[in-house]
Amino acid sequence: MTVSSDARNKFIRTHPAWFSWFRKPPVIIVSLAVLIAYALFLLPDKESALPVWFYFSISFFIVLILAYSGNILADRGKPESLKMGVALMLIAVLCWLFHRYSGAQWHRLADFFFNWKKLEGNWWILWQGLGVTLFLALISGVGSVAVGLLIAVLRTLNSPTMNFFLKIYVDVFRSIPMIVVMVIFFFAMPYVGISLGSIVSTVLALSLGYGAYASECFRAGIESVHSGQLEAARSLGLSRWKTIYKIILPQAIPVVIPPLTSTLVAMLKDTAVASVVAAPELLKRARELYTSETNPTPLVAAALIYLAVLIPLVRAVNMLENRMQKKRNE
Amino acid sequence: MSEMNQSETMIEVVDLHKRFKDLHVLNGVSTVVKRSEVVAIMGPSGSGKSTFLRCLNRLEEPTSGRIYIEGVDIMAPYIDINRVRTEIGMVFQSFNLFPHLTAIENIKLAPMSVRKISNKEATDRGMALLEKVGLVEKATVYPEQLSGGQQQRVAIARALAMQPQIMFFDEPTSALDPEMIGEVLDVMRNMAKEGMTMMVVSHEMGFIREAADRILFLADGLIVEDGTPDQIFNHSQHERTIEFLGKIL
Repeated sequence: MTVSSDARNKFIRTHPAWFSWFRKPPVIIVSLAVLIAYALFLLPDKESALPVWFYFSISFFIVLILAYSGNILADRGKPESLKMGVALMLIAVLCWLFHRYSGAQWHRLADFFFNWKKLEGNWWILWQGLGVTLFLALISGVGSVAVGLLIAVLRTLNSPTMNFFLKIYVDVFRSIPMIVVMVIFFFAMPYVGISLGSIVSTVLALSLGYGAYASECFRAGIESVHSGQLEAARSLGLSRWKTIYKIILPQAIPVVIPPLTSTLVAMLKDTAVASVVAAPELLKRARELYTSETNPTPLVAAALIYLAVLIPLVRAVNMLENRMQKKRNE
Repeated sequence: MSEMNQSETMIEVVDLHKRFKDLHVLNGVSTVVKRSEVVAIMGPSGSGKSTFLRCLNRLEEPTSGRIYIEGVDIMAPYIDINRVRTEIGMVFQSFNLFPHLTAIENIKLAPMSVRKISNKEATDRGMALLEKVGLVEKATVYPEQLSGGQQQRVAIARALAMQPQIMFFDEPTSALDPEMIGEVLDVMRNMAKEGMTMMVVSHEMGFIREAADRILFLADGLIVEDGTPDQIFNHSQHERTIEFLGKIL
């Protein structure tokens, strides 16, 4: 096979690799100098400037610095070390701008955000709150998996009437904010004679709501099983239920686990919403401490505890998803 | 089975219709299949061959008509269709082995959970069947590690494990690479010799000529010709049959 020289010439580069003038090193260095000059001489002081000029010049500076770093970060020809430096510089400059113009009193940070002395002797309250949070998540988790599985299995029966009502259920609970359901269960239902209490309201709301999400996960998993599997099972004389739990679910569950875990993580986060119905979970207990100590350190501590619990879970979901992806690619 | 009465009727189909919304797939099919008979079903694409077969064990629900299996009307409301299906083994074009189970587990599943036989008995019977299809050494292997031909042979063993009276084959070799078709047809030939009642949707001329007692030629949802392979292949009177055979030969 020979390629004609005409055809080959069509594909030969006629311009240098560094085509765009704004990506050339001299331009980048000069514009960096311009930016520094801008920052030093043109940015207004907090007090002195005209409001219009004040906001315009700061916004314009942010646009310029984003364009400058974007120009470098998006260039495939530049080394990663340079890009890392630019990214860190961008974050530093934005922090500096925030520090300069937000009017935050940073010296109070140690007293009010990280004043661990205020928590001495009170940690057990937060741990108790965490215990309630995990308890709520566990019970609601089991509840929502049960609800979700039930709905998904019922939907495999392909009964139009049943599907109609199941779809209404799923749509309603996927559309309504969880906090609204909880508040109605806790504050409104007692007026018609149904007093559920904060824990029961929370568990019920989370189970019903996340059950709707879980049912969608299960349904996707069940639909991923090839219809030929169902036909093979039915042709062997397996009943509908045996087909579901011996053939369909064993194949659907591995597909379902990553999205389902992700849903359950979202549910664990939503247990914090239960603080509005006075369930004694982590956020609620932290707010109580915040009130009694008149210091927001407990809130920061609660945030850190949520992070410590949830980051490993989020990583685990990620790993599960990657493993599933690998399996699918095999 | 061959010592039994050869003229005993196994399947009788009377005026079978199947409609999918506006599409008439079967327009009144009637036929009788005797015990130990091997019936090949041929016909152009879209003629309703697969639908016909799938209606006979009600994987597709017929729109109207009567189906008698061993004299029992399986369209009757009091019929437990799952029990009917245990008498009819079915082999699919796409094998449809259960991917989460090994070959032997695939074979054992239905006998154990439907026929309620013990694990040991099911294993013994399964291994005997694997021996019959020449795959004993693959018993503990998962379907994805088997070739197409091997998967189809396991699928045949799985269907036979229920000890059915009748076997349906829905284009069993159409999804196979050419060099694997022979091994599957060999297994089917042996079953025919042993007297199994078989209905086979297939265009494997060699196999049909040799093993089939009868050919049903379907076109537009009707049986347009019904005869021995010799009659159909060599002395066909029907224009549709001649046209079709001209295309595939």
